[in-house]
Amino acid sequence: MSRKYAFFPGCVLNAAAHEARMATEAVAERIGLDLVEIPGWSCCGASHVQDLDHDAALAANARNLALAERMGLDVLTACSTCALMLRTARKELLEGRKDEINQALATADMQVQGTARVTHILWLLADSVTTWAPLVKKPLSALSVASFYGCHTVRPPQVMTYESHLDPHSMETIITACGARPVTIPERLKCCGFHAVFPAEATADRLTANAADTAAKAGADCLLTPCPLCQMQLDMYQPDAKAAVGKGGDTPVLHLTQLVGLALGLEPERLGLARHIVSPDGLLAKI
Amino acid sequence: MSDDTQDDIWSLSRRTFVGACATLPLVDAIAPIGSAQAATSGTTATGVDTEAGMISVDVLVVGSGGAGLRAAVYALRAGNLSVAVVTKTMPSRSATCMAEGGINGVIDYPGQKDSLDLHAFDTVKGGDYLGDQDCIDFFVEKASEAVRETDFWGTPYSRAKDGRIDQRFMAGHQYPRTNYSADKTGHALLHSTFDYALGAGVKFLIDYQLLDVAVEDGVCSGIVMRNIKTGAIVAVKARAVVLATGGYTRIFWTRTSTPFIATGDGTAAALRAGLPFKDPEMLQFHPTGVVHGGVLITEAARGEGGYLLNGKGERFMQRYAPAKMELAPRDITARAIETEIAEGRGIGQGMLAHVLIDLRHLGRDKILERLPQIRHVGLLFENVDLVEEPLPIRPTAHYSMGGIDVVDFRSMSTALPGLFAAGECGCESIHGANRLGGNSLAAAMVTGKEAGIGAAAYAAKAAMPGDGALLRLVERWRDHFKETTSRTAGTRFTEIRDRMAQALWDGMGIYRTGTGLAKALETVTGLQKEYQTAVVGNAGQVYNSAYTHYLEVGNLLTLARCALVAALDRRESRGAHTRVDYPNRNDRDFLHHNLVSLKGDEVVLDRRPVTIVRFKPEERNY
Amino acid sequence: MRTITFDIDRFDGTRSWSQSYSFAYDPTLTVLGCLIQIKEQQDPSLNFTASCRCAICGSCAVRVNGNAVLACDTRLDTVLTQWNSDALRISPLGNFRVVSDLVVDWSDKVERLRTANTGLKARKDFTAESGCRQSPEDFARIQKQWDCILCGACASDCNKLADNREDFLEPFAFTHANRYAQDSRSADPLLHVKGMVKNGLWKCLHCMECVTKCPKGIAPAADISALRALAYAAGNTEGKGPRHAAAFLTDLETTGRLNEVRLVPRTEGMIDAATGRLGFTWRMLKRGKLATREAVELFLVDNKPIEGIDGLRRIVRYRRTAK
Repeated sequence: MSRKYAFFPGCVLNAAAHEARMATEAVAERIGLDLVEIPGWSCCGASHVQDLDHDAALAANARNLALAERMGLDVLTACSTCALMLRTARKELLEGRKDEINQALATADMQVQGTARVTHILWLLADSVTTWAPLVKKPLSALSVASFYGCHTVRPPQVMTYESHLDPHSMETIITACGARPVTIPERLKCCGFHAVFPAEATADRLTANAADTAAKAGADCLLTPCPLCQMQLDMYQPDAKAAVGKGGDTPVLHLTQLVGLALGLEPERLGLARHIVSPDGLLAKI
Repeated sequence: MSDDTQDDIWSLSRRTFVGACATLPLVDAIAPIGSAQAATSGTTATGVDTEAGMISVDVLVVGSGGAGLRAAVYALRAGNLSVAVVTKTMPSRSATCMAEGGINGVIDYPGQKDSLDLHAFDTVKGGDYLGDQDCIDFFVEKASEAVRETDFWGTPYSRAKDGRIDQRFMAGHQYPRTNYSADKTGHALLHSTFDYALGAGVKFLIDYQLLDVAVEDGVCSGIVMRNIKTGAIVAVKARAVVLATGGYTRIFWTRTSTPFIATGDGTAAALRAGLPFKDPEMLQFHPTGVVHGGVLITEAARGEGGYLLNGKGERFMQRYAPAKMELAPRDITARAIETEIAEGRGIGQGMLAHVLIDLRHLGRDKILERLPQIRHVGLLFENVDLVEEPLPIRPTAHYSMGGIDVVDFRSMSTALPGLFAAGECGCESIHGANRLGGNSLAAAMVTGKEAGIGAAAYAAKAAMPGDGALLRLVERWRDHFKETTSRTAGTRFTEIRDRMAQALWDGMGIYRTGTGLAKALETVTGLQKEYQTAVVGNAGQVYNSAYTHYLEVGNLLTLARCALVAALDRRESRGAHTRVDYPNRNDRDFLHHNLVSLKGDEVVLDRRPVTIVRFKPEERNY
Repeated sequence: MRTITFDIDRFDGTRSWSQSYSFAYDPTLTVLGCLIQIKEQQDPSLNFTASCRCAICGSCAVRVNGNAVLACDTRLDTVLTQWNSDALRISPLGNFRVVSDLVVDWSDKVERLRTANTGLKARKDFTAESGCRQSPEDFARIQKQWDCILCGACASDCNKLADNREDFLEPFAFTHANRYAQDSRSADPLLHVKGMVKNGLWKCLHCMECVTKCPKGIAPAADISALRALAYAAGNTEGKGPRHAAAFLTDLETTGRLNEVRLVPRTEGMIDAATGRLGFTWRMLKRGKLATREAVELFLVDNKPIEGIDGLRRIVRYRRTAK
């Protein structure tokens, strides 16, 4: 397994989900992962640019892949939408559009081969669990954790090929390796509503409130998600969702790498746990 | 700013959206719109008579396959008439969607060598001279028009480089005239016609099972049907009824390519209403169906170069059609396969006996590109990947050339005023004793349109009929449900169905003898008696699909019995009807249509000469 | 003998209950084959719909452990392996009114499909008498969407429909609308686009269930995306959905990175953003998600452009202006 990756943080890791960046980098350092940020990476389009101009977004992501190829490294993402956008782009290039898109890239003196693979920190952690589990200093045995995979982490299976989209286990493997107890809720593989939180606000409110409420009622201390967009939706919008729907409101939502970081003994501040809207203080007190 | 709306050209009015989404009040919605005769008919006929549970409509179409949908659109277009389609299940589940090869129609283009005349000849000869030639002349011209109309309606046809619809060869045609859409032409036609019907405003009554056609004072007065969802027996009074209920090869329940729902309900109802069933013994067996169940392996598999192999690995078609080999017409190829099996050169025993179709030499790429659907079918039913291995196949009952006796092919009317028949359930006769590939989709489109126009023209002048017969039928069917579903001791009706299927496959299959047919007739007649006391297994009102199927089996038994009587009488071999005891065609004694009718419990046989115009019957060789 | 159990959701119009049926394992069975066997050998009162049994009529879609499949097209072995269990829950499609057991009501779905303005309105140079012309390339462009068999699997598992059906249509309706919008024979593609905006075109959550569950490999989400592109290009630029997407494209071309602070007022308008999101913004500032200074900078000045922004702009321009 490679230890060095071309790191594609994605836009939100630099801004509203900065704590995910902090935790990803802290965990990477602890377990010996060398993340080299791709110089000049651009927004993946997040499905929204794709809606207005599919091919412009494809070309922009082809550029991102070409940049990684220049580094001679595979790409590591920490955001499921970024992973989906980049993997979809790579698939389209390899299935016949490479020459055509390279005409666009040529205007910037670039070419893409499609050789750089794209992986997600979730998959990497799940695959390498025997390597980092021995480094766990603080087993989180007091915690019950409800996994919330996020749509783009597992669907569509033609693109997100890592594991079963019907019954994935990567998160449960990681939660268990951290010493915590996995809790299964029906919302585990459902949508948080983030991508339509503006045009379909009422729906997003209900999806958020339901996930938070169900997790709490199932005895979970928190929701855990590998996608920072889900985290932002479920955390930042949880108070508004509670106001609209009347449930949830007190369920902290952790980024995957924050849980791993806590188990590895890293300090909560370093993992950005002070930046959450729904306070994780209660959870932190338990460990 | 509100959610995402814009109050300009981007808005459908919210009222329109919400209104359209509301469940169509199924029973209340149909009101005849200002029919010419409404004022003088004595009834205003504007909706539900809730006491009797009656609906009124000007033109009622029964069946939502290709023919039914075409009939509904054209009836609606005639103007000023209310039209409704009654369908046993969600439209788009019918046999039309299963047709693959294409729709025949001569398309004019520079250098075209094909002609309507040639299409007519091929059809007449293909039908072994049992088709009515004036009707066939009409059909081929309308088929050509239908292809262009369906293109205009949005059917996605495969294209040649110059933008014309692309055409392929099917067996028995002198020129490629089968217009196609990849390997899913029926599916493409059905869905584009359904989309078009929705856009045209056709109303659908979904999940209603036809029970009977009502006759009042010698005219068709409508139908009685069962709301499968609720169990309610509902009468529909109509000025004109178009039956488009499909074929009846489901009499061979375990070896047919057709869908579960195609059980000849309209044909049986027409018989009960006193109409004759024409040429019922003419049942087409498609040479290649999968062994478990009979799902179709398209003719295109042979068209693309597949070989048929027996248990010895021989390409046995050498013995039966040395020139055409695997591309001989369906009846000849089907007979060849059955002969190989009967003479011990097949593989396996009984209903699982089979031969093989070998496509390995085509190579993986070609198979994936041209025949992906049948590869999928092979994997699903036989666990065989035909890229790697030959696929077991055997003939399967595929199409009903016979059907409700249509007496005027220009309007698709029957002898019962107000009753019309279209699609596979009707017999005009276009297909005679054997149908050519590509002619059934064409016939569905053509006869559907003409029936819709004919029914509308009739309805515009007809009075709304009286209630008497309808009300009596409603009572009878209400009693029938109660009596039937309350039985607890008796044979399970599905057993009766399976015994019928076995008896018919053995006695009225590809090869028939007088003895075999007589034995099968005796069995079927006995099964009909047993059916009267059979157990349904569910007495509930809500979506009682066991009762639905019980009625379907009853219809199949009736149709099977008629077919056996006709098959016994036809002491010759013609087209799909092969008598081992009478192996030659006998134009002198049998160049006629069989007309089978029910008189009480008896089945009676009558005859009608075939209309010959230009093509004198000749020996049929390929 | 290996025993398989189907726990089937039953409903008789009044009462709901779960009923278990066990049968011998048989590798040749499909899910539909199991249901037929149960009905004919164990319980004639079990209701489900089926017609062609070869994956072309769309009649037999059901849910296995809550996930829609086409029963005739799904081998028993497949679902046993997927779920690593010999006991499976079989239920009717989601987001449909259930009539009985596994039978759902298509009547209102048909009416909802009707609102998608189906059926070709052909160009003036084509007539019913002449038929149409279309290049093989133009046929290829719509061929996949025409594989739709109206099985309802996409609608069953759609996360948006599960929340609210009043302001959204089934994914197959969007596929139907798009195949006419993209058809070179169409007189006016916008005929098929306009209504879809009002029917929730911009409310799709992008959950990818429709793409995952379609037994024919159609991607209704891609059709929704294509309709959005057509709508926007034709002037549907107002409303939160279009403005949200436009903000991303603008940012990509300007700096190569999303400006999250500007995103909200761009999407909702300055006034709505300022008034409607007060509590939200206050919480962000209080918890340090957003530093005041940083936020003001982002709002007034924007992100620093990425390294190589000129190259990115050229690449994007090239595609934006290509035919």
